Amino acid sequence: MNDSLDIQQLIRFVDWNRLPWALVFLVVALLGERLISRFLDDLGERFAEQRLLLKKVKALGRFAFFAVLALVFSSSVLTVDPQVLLALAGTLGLAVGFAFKDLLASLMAGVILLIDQPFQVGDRIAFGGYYGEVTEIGLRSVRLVTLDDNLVTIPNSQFITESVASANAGALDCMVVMDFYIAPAEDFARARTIAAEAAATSRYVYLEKPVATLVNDQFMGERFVTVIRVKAYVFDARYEKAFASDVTERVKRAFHDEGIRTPDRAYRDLELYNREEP
Amino acid sequence: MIRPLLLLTVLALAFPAAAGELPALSAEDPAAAWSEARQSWLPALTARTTSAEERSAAREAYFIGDATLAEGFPHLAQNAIDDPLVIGGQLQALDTALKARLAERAEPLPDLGSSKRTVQLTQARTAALDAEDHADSLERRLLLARQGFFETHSVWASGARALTGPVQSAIDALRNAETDDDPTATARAAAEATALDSELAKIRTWSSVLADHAAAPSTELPELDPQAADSGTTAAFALQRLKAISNARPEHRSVVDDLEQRWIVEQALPALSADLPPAPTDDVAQALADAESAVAAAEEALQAHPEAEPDTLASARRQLAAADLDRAARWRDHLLEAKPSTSSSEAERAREEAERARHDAEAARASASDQRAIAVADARSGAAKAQERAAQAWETTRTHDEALTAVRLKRSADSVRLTQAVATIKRPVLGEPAPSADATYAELRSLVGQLRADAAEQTQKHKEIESEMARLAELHEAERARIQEGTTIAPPAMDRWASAIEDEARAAKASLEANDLARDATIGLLHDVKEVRRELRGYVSSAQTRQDRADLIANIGHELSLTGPNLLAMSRERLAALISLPRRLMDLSFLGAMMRGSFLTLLFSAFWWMGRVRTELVVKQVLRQIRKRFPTVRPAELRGLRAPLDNFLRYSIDLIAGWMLREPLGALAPELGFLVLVWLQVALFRCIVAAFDVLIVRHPERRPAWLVLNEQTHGLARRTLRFVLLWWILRRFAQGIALNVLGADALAEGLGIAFFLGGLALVLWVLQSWHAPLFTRMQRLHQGSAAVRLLSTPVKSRLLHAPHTLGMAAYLATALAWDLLDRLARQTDGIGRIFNAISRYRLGQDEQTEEIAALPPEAIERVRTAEAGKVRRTKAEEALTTAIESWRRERRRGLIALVGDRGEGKGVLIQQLLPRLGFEGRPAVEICLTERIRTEEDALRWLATALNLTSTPSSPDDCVAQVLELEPTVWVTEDLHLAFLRTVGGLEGLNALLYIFNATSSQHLWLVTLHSPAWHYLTRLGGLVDTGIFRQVVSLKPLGEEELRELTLRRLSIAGFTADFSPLLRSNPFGADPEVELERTTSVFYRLLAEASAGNPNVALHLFTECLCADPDRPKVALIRVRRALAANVDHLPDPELFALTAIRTQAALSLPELIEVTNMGKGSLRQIVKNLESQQLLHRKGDQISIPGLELPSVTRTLRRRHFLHGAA
Repeated sequence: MNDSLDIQQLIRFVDWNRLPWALVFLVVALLGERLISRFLDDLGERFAEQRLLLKKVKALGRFAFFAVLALVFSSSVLTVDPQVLLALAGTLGLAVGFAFKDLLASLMAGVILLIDQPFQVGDRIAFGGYYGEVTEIGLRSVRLVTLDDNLVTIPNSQFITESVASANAGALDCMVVMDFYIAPAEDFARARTIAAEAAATSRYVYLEKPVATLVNDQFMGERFVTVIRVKAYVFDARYEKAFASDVTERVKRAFHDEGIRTPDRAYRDLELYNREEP
Repeated sequence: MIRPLLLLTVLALAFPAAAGELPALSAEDPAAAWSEARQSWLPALTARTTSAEERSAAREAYFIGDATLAEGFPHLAQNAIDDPLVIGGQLQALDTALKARLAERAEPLPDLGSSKRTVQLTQARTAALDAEDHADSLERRLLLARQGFFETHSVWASGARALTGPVQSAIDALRNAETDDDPTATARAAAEATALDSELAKIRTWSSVLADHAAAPSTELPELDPQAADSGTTAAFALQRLKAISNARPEHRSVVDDLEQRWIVEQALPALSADLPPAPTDDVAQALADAESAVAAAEEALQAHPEAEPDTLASARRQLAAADLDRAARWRDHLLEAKPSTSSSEAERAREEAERARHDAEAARASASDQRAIAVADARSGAAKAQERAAQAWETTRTHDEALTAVRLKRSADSVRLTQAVATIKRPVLGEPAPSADATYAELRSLVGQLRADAAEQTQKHKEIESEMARLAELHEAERARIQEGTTIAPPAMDRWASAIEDEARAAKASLEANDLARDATIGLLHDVKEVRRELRGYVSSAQTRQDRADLIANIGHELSLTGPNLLAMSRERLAALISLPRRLMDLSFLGAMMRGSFLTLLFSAFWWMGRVRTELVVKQVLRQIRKRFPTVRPAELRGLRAPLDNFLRYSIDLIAGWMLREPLGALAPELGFLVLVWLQVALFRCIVAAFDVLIVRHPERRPAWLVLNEQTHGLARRTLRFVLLWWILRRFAQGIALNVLGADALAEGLGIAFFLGGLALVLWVLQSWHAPLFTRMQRLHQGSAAVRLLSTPVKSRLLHAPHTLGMAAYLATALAWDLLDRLARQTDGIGRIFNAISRYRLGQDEQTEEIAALPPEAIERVRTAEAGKVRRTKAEEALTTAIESWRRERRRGLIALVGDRGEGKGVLIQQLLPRLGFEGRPAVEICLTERIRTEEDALRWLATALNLTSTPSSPDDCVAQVLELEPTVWVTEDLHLAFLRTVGGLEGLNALLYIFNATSSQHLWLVTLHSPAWHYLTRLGGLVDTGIFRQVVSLKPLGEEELRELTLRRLSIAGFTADFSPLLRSNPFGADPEVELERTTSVFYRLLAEASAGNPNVALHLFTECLCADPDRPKVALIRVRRALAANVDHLPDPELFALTAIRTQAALSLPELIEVTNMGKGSLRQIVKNLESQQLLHRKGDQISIPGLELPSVTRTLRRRHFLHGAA
C-alpha cells in the first residue's frame, strides 16, 4: 500500500449522495433533542419530587443521543475501506489524537462522570472555589450556576483529578447550617429552643429529616460568645439561602421579643453601663 | 581450557571444605585440645553439615521440579552447560573435592582425653563429610546426565552451539559498538544487543530444560543430519523432546509454545508447500489407500483445531493442520494421477493378446492348405477379431477412465480453491485482500453447473454402456454358438475366442463400474460444493440471489433428475460402510464413539420407558395440586381432566426422549436417526394437539380448563390446529430432507414456495371456516361503535368472507388485549394511573349538546348530607372502643387521638361514640376549641373555662392540681390543632395542654381529634412537641372504590333515586357484552372518583352529586354523566401561592395575620396571593378564617405533593 493517500480514495470516503439526507436527519435530530430536553425540564418542574431523576435521565439521554447520532451520521455518510483505515490509523490517527487529546480526555471524563456519579444534574457542588447548582453535564464540560447567577463552565477532565463536594448528592433536600451568636450570659436554653422552633416552623423546612441544635462557646476576635448552631434540611436545594434567611429573620425577631442579646449588644450595654457608673 | 580452570577456581572458593578447612590444633594438652576443638572444629563442622544439607535440599527440589536451576545449582546456572568441556571440568572439580574428603575422613583425630570426646568429634566430622558427599552426588548426577546426553547426541551439542555461538558473537559485536560517538546508533545497538540477549537466554533455557530431562528413554529421536546445524532441524528436535516433557514449568511451557509457533511458521508450513515427491511406481494402490486414510486423518485433525486469533499458537496450529490436509489431498490426487488404472494395464494386455492373435491368425491363414487348416485359420481369425474387439473395448474403457479421473481432479482442485476462498471471505485476515464474495459465488454456481452436467453426462454414459453391454450380450450369444460348433476343430482357438468374448464383456463392465464410481464421486463433490455455496449465501449481493431465483426451475429439474443416482450413491456408500464395519471396529476411537452412543441410547431409552410408566402417577399428583389450589373444583370435574393430561404427558415424554435419542442413534446408524426424526415429527404433532385438549374443553363437558367452546367451535378450532400443525411439520420435514439428505437446495427452495402457496390456501380455508362463528360473536357485542356496526353487517359475497374474518379477528383480539390491560390497571399502581388518565379523558367527552337537567336541589342535598347514610368507620370505631376500654381497666395514659382530614368523618364518629363514652355513670363532656390558642396563658384560660374550674390557674401545675380535683370524666376535645400556630413560640399553648392532659390522664380520659396534616407536622418536630404521650392514635383511612360505591348508591337510594350509568357507555370504542361493559365502566367511574376525592367521603359525595342528571322519562332514575373534569390539577400556581396553600393545608384554617406570621411573607404580597386564590376558588373565607374548600382539597394536596411542598404522609 502506498504511504500517501490518493485524493480519489479520500473523496471516495464520503458518500455524496447521502450527505444531504444525512444533514437533514442531523437537523431534525437536534431539534428533536431540544424539544425532548425542554419537555423533560417542564416535567421536572411539574413533578418536583422526580426533578433530579428527570435531569439525570436527560443528561444520560443526551450523551447516548449524541453518541448514536455521531455513529449513524458517520456510518451513513462515510464509507471506509479497511485498507485505507489502516493507512489512516498509522499517521493521521496519531496527529488527530494529539490535537484532540484534551477534548478526548474531557469526553471520556464525561462518560466516567455519568457512570461514577460523584454528582448529578441538580446537585449543589463546591469545586475549585465555586459553589452552585449543576445545570448540565455535557460531552466536554460541566455547567454550574453559582448563587450570584454566574454560569461557570468546568472541563470534565478536571473532576477526575480533583475532589468535589456535593451538598445534596442526588436528593432534592440538603442540609443548611446556620449559626446564631448570643452573649454568654443570655438564656442559651431559651435561645436554643427559639432557634429550633424557627427552623422547624420555616416554610422551607424539610421535616422528614431531623432538626438539630448545638450550643458552643468560643472566642470571636476578642470576645467570648455563645454559638447556637442549627442544622436543618431545606425541602428543595434551590431554596437553600432563602431558608437560611427565613430562619435568621425568625430568630432575630424572637431574640428581640424575648430580650436575648447578641454579643455586640451585650458588650455595648456593658460599656454603656461602665461609662454611666460613677 | 580457560573456562574449566576458572570453574575449578570458583568451585574451590565455593567449597572450602573440599580443600580441608579444619585448622590444626595448637594445644598439646588433651583437655586444652578438646576445648579448642569444641570452640573451632565443632562449630565449623556443624556449619559445613548445615550448608551441605541446604544445598542437598535445594538440589533435590530441583530434580522434582520444585526449584529452578538457579536455586538448586546457583554456581552452574550462568555457565554454558551445553559445553562438554565445561561439564568435564565441573566433574573433575567434584572428583577433587571427593578425594579431599576421603583424605580428611582417613586422617586420625588428635588425643582429646576421652573416647567420648573423640566419638563426638568423629561423628560431627562424619556427618559433615556425608552431607557434603550427598550434595556433591546430586551435582554429579546432574552433570553426568548432561554429559551422557551430549555424548549420545553429539549433533545436538554442536547444534546448540551453532545456535548460541553466532548469537553470542553478535551480542559481543553490538556491545563493542557502544563506544561509537553517535548516541542514536549506540542506543540502537544496545537495544539489539538486549533483544539478542533475551534470544540467547531463551535458547539456553530450553537447552537446559532439554538436557535436564534427558532421562526420558522412550522418546524417539529423529534422524539428524550431522552436517546440518541449522536452527530448523535443531528446533524440530528440541520441540519434539520438549513436548514430551510432562512436568515442564510454566515458563518453560511458554518457551515451548513460542518455539512451536516459530517452527510452524518458519519450517513446517514452507515444508508442506514444497513440491510433492514423485509417486511410487509399484504398489500404488496401497499408497493410494494410505493417502486416503491420511486425508481422512488430516480432516479430523483440522476439525480439532478451531478458528483462532491470528498470530497465536492456536492459529499457527490450525494453519499447519490446514496445510497438512492440503498436502495430503494433493498427494492423494497426485497418486490418483500416477496410479496406473486397471483399465490401462488391461488395455495393454489385451492389445498384446490381440496382436498375438492376429499374427497367429495370419500365420495360420498363410499356411492353411487344406480345409481343416482353413477352418482352423478361420477360427483363429475369429478369435483374433474378438481379441481385437476386446482390446478396443479396454482401450475405450481406459480412455474413459482417464477422462473421468482428469475431470474429477480438476473439479476437486476447483472445489478446494473455492472452499478456501469462502473461508477467507468469512474470516478475513487484516492486511490481506479478501476475494470478492459475488465473484466467488458465481464461480461456485458455475462449478455446481459443471458438476451437474458431469453427473448428467455420466448418467447418460451409464445408459449407453448398458445398451452397449446388451448389444454385446447378443453378439456374444451368437459367437458362443459358433464357438460351440468349432470346438472340435480348433479347441485352443475357440478357447481363445471364448476368452476374448469374456474379456470384452469384462471391459464393458469395468467401464460401467468406473463410470458409476465417478458419478458417485461427482455427486458427493456436488453436495460439498452446494454446502459451501450455502455458507456464502449470506455474504453476497441481491443480484446473486435474483440470479438463483431465475434459475430455480431449471435447477429443480436438474436435481430431480439426479435424485435416482443420488440415492444409489448413498446406498452404495452406506453398504460400503456396513461392509467395512468389522474393520472399523478395530479403530479405538470409532469403537469408543460407538460405545458412547450405545450407552447414551440405553440411558435415554431407559428415561423414555420410565417416563412413560410413571405418567399415571404424575397425573395423580397434578390433580391433587389442582384440588389443593382450587378447592371448589369437584372430583367429578377433575376426573375429566385425567385422560387429556395423561396424553399430554406421554406425548411430551416421547418428544423429549426422541429429541435426546436422535443424536446418539444417528451416530450409531443414520437410518435409525432418520426413523427417530420421523417419530419426532409425529410426537410433536400429537403433543401440541394434546395440549389443546387439556387447555380447551368442549361444552357441555365439565372440567377445569382455560377456555370453554361450544361443540362446533371446538371442532373447528381443533381441526384448524391439526391442519396448521400438519402443514408446518411437513414443510420443515420436507425441506430438511431435501436440503440435508439429498443436498438439493433448489428443490428445498421450490418446496418452500410450494408450501407457501399451500399455506396461503390453508389460511384462506381457515378464514372461510371461521367466518360464521366470529360473525355470531360480533353480533353479540354492543353496537355503539362504528367499527362494531361495520363488522356486524352481513357480507353477501363469499369472496369477502376472508377479509371480513380478518377484520373481526383483529377487532376481537384488540378487545381481548384491552380487557387484559384493564385487569392489569386495576391491580397495578403505575399502569393504573396511566389508565385513569385515559379513562378520565374518554369519560369526560360528553357528546350531548342539549341541556341536561340536574336533579332537584333537595335531592342533591339529601344525597350529600343524609344522616342515615353516613359512613360507618367500623375499624376506627373498634380501635377507639378498645383503647377506651383498656383505659377503663388500667386507669393510666388516658390520652387518645383521632386523626383525619377535613370531611373524613371525625365528627361523625365522635357523635356516634359519644353516648357510649360515659364513665362511672357520668356522660362524656365535649369541650370545644373555638379559637386559636398560642400561649400558655391562653391555654390555661381556655381550659379553666371549658372545665369550669374554680379559678384560672396561674401555671400548668396549678391547673393539673385543679383538674385532679374534678370527678373522673371522659373529656372530648375536637380540633386540637387550633391549639398551636406554626411560628416561634406558637407551640407553647399546645405543650401546656398536652402536659396537663398527660398529668391527669390516670384520673381523666382525654379524647382529642386533630386535623391529619397538622398531626403529621407535630409528629416531626422531635423534642419540640411530645406526641408520644398518647395511648392510641387512630387514623381514619381514605375510602376505597367499593366503599365509595356503596356510600354513594346508598345515599342516592335514601334520596329516592336509582343510578343509571349507561350514559357513560357511549364513548367506549370497544364493544363487549353490554352488561360486562356497563360493569366495567361503572368500576372505572368509581376508580376515578376515588382518585379525585382522595377517598374523602364528603368530597366524593360532592363530586358524585355533580355527576347526577335527571332522566326526563324516568323520574326516579339519576343518570350519571361526568360533567366536571375529575381530578383536575392546579399546576399553574407559582411558588409563593403554593407556600400559602401549604401553610393553610397544614393548619386547616388561618386568619390573614396568622398566615403572614406562619409564612413570614410580606403582608401586601400575601393579600394579593389570597385574593388570587380566592378568585380561582382555591381558598374561601369564613369570617376571618381562610381555608381550602373541601372540594379542592384533593387536587390541591396532589399538587403540593407533586411539587414537593408536602412530604411524607402529610
